Amino acid sequence: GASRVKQTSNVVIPNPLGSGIHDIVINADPSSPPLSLFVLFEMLKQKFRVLATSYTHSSVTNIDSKLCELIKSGSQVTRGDHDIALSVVWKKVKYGPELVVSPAKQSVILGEVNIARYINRLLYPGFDTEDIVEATTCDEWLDTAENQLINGNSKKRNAAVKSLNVRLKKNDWTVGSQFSLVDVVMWSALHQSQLVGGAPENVQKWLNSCSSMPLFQTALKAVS
Amino acid sequence: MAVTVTISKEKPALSALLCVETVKNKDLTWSFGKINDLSTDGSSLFTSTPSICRFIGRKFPEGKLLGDSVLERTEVDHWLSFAWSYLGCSSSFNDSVGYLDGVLGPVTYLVGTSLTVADFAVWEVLHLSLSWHTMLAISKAPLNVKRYYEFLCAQDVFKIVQESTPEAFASVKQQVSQSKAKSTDKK
Repeated sequence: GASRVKQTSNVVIPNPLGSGIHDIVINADPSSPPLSLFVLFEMLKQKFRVLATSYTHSSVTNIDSKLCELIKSGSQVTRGDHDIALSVVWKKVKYGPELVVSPAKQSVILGEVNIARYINRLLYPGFDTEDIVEATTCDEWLDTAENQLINGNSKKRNAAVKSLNVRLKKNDWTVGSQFSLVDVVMWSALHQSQLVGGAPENVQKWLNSCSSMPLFQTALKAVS
Repeated sequence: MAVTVTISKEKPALSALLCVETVKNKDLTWSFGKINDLSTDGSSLFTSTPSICRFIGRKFPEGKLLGDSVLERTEVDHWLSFAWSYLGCSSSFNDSVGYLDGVLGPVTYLVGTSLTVADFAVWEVLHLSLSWHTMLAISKAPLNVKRYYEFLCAQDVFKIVQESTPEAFASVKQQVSQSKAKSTDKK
């Protein structure tokens, strides 16, 4: 097709990384783990020195102990040597997973998709500015994952799978020409809404491409 | 590159219109049409309200519509999810208004220290919500949300948008007075 001229945005978005260790706390329910988090954790580790710790809140009993093992750093590490301190607290959360980075200055950020958006901005500081049509298209798919797959009824879920299948007919990845956050979130949402088994052909093929990537191996342990 | 926004008369994307009126740029114009839409150089790019708002925010950063930092940007995302998934859903409306009231206690704007798309989305959902206007009519609206809603309604860009789209609001008002009349009949 015709090459598209990228529309960019001429603005620098202040990033919390680079001035000391950046603390991220995520609260999530162990009975429905946000699978994208495990993939994003692996992506963070490729780019940054991440000090990861998992906790189980006293309100939770019968937690699958393997979850705590998945997001964890070795024991012989010191905090000062890291860029990011990621703490995952497994607990009951009423409205889905929560993200807190600066409790005095922010509202708690709710939902797996918005947590993924935050981590994606740490990974790719140019996300919002370098290709604004693609960024907004990503957000549109992320909204679909949240509203139709994660929170939607079966009618909405089927409609979302159908449009994904159409998109993947001629494309390897959900948005643009490369693997992106949207693939991570869609993969996660499809697994959590039990849509993987009956997925149509193109979606099936794409799910397999994701699952064979090293980045997804930790997440696969969480679903197995 | 010229950006044109079309606003549906039936179901106006009020947040999108608020974005246009806030940015005030000669390269961003709007008119009424059949559906809500954003086009650049004549070809349609986005038709959903959050996407139209996000694109305008990114294209015209001087409007400061999407928050300043990485954290503020994601807070805006959080409020867009909140507005359209929880506040806009009648089964979770009461809980959502209660939560919003708690957050608004100490602050003027939802994210940072100026208007963002977060405020536009929450205002749009409240403004067109039968549940909200019923709460106001029977004096049951939580104080912080009421103060915030009235504060926004009185700002210039919100006034322009209200004056441009009177039909959408009139139909909500009419339903409120009908349901009010019904509940008085029962007594």
